[in-house]
Amino acid sequence: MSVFSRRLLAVAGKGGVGRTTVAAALALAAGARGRRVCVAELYGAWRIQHLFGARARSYTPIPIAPRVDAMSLDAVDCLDDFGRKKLKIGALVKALLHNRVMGAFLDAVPGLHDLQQLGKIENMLMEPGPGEPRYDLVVLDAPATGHSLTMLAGARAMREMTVVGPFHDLAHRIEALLDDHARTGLVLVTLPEALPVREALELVEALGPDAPLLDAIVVNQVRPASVPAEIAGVPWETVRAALVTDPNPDVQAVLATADQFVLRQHAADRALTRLTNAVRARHAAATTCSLPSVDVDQLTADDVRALARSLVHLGDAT
Amino acid sequence: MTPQVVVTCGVGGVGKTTTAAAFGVAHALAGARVVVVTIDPARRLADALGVSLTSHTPERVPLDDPSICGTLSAVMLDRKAMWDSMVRTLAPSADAADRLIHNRYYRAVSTRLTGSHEYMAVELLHALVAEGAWDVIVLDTPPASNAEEFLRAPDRVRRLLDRRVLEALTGSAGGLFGGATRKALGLARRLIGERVFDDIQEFLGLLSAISEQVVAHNAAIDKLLASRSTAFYLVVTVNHGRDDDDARFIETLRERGIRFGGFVANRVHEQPPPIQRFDPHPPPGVDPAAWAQWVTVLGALPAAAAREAEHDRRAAERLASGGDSVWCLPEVPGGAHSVSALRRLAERLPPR
Repeated sequence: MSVFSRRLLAVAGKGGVGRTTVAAALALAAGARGRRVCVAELYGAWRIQHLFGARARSYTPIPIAPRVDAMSLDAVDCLDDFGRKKLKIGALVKALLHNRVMGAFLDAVPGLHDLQQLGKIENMLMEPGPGEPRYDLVVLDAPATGHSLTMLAGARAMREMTVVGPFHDLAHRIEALLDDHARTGLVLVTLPEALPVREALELVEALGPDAPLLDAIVVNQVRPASVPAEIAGVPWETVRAALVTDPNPDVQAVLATADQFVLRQHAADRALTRLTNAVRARHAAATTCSLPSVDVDQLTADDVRALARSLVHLGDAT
Repeated sequence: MTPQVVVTCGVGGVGKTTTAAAFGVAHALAGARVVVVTIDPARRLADALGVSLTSHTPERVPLDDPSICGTLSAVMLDRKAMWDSMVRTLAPSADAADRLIHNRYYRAVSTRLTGSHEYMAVELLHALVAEGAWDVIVLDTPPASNAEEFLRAPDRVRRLLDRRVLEALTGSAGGLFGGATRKALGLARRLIGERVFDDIQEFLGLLSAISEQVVAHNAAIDKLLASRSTAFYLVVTVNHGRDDDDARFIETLRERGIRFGGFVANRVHEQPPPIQRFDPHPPPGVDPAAWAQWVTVLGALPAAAAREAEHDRRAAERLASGGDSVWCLPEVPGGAHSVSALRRLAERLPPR
């Protein structure tokens, strides 16, 4: 089953691994495969919209490619929306939030902000209103790991806490969507470096039976090894053994630099092997794919389109 | 004497916990009695430091180095234990404290409140200052999608503990509140569901018994954070650049009179030594053509390393563009997971 046949793809990963970029590229790839897609950022972030030329944040989805929209969610917009649609008290919700007492109260209700944003996504997918776009797939740029698991577990906590009422129903519907392994999949983004990979491994190990199914691991920013394992049949070890005895201090300096690169590469390779093994053991259906390195300082929409082309066949049987 | 307080803030995945540990080692090297408060259950770090971090009292970190005359301890924040301890400290009587702690809504709600993690982190900081056993307290902050969350989150809990808010929410204010608030309460009840609303209301009713003490206590904490001996550092990875979130964070610190110590940029690549001549001779038995290819590949490495270093140097410069200090920590291949690796990082941190 291709990852693109899901209804919801949650893209998770630690800060700085390129989660937002991968979410955008996945959305473009899904769009290229003919699916109607929306990529959603949370907590008012609008990096994708900005990258594709928007001048201001937009809660309403805006097109970034054929069949592909991007939206920026935040809890207040979602709560407002929820009030209008579910409780027919739309105009009052903003007043409620601006009331000093209620603002303090609603702000502190555990998990409310996460619940509202996930609830909006569930609603968009499952029962879009008249005149609203209908999406086959929502790609969610989930918050940094640690938080993403809390966020996904939050729906359950809210359902258990509320017992009845509109929030309870909402929590119940979100939970049903997240727990449905046919509809929801998880894509984990990491970098080919020891620390981010170890963090990804911790997340893979922490995924319980109720977590969304792990569909793919995307290793972002992969570049060719600076010191190859061998060249024309001559292994690095042979070369190194010859250089160690060279009296030229410049040769020793180059050797020290090479050792640094090799050390870094090995630490990353070891971590990646452990991650791949853990994924294979626990999530047999998950695939691993690599994305080439791009200059993150000057990331453009074209870079994202190029990455999308690398992802178009993600999860297809070979 | 007021201890020195170091707070490390930043988004997830930038090495905040490692930086906090390195600050701890730095101050221990300088002879101080240091405690590092970690929030993340960072097992690797605990293992590297040789501590279990399972209890919520500080554990001594074995430094195995007689030249270090200070001491280093570490403690992990336990939110539940911290709420209980705060209630016990502030409640007017042991009975009142027990009533609150054994209330089932208190147990279900307190640690789940949005901002509870951050609020309790500051609480623990205050408790450690009161202990008087430490020269330096290093506080690692919870993972957040943005650094400012650490400053804003406790406000959420504080606003809730405000006496007027509590009275309105628990209905004990009588006719003091206008129709708007009553109407809002009715709406919130419908929105959230009666059961959870009533649960939270009962919890708040119990909490209102200690509300006044909480307010006074918070004033003491604000004073501590704004004192000259406290500094906040923003931990970043160097390729992240200076962005609007950073600017807002620094601005918020200034508004609150909190000293900003500067950026700590992690995993910075260092400039390799300059190379004049790289012409190693091929060892016997190695194909000269293959050797020549190796020489080309290896000869290009210093330039590649220099490019990385230059990229990082420019990024650090951009961070410093607002006139703030930037402390660059070198990349440690595989991560800084031993006291000796932390010591290497500690040498690059601001002097006492």
